[in-house]
Amino acid sequence: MSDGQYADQPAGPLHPELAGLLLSEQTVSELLAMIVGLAISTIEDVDGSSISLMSPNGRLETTSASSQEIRLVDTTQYQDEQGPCVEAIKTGREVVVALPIGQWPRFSDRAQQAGMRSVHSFPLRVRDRVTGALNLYSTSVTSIEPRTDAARSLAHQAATVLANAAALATAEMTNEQLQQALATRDLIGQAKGILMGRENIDADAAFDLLRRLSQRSGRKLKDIAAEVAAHPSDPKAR
Amino acid sequence: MALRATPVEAARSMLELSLDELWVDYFTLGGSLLPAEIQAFLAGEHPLGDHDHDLLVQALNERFLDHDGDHPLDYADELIDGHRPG
Repeated sequence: MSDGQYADQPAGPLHPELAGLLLSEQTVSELLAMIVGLAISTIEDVDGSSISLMSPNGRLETTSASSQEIRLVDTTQYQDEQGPCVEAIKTGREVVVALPIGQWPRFSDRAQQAGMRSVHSFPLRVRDRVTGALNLYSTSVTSIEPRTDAARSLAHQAATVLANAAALATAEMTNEQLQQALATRDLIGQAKGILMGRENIDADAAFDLLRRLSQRSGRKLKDIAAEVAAHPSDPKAR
Repeated sequence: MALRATPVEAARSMLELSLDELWVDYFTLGGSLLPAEIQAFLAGEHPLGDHDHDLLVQALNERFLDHDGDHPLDYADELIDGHRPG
């Protein structure tokens, strides 16, 4: 990525995964804007959020931002080719920074001017390739850290939206339906994770266990998953 | 594998579910294949692994639950060579 170019082009083309989606780009943008909004409304101490994506020409772009100030902080990172978001996309790892940070002086100054004291960037993986990042900004130092699981889950949802953007756009789902689908998918994922740890089984076996319980009890899988997630250490809760 | 697709496609048709509706249910349960891949399976053109097959079956069985049907479709481990045993 060291030879890549970065520019802030909010109206520019979306990621190659979304190529061929010209008619539904608006829908995809709405989905990503929804993720940005969810980050602020559902994760404590998140005061600003954005999604950066790699465009087909290798440039990083902020496709959704909670404010113009956040968009400018992102843009500084793209121009300098450095900062937590750029680093998360380069390395595929989560990056947490408390401000000020001498390593990235322009980004540090710009983010502080926007009132931010810490930033957490999560890489977005679409089919094993890092295609962007979910960036969470906080006016408190390190306060995002305890909320990492919720944020990671949201980053996973953002990547899921990107990976399935074409299908989601053509399925004509309302935002509420999509939100519900993602929440249920996430809940089932959590329950599978709990069962994998508790029963020492893989993900497919965890799903099999949930669906057998659904079959045996005549209840929906999401209801079984909710019980498992609510009582993670209780073997009877499944 | 086309043998496996037949009851799944028949159930989808019986429930009057569109491909998109079935795919959304499958996606909600955790599926990661695209609608075109599901469509190819339903048409008997493309095999699915046990897990994705069972996700589709679960999606349809849950629709049957809404109509007072209790898991009429068989999961992969209940089928022998794609057929319901017996």
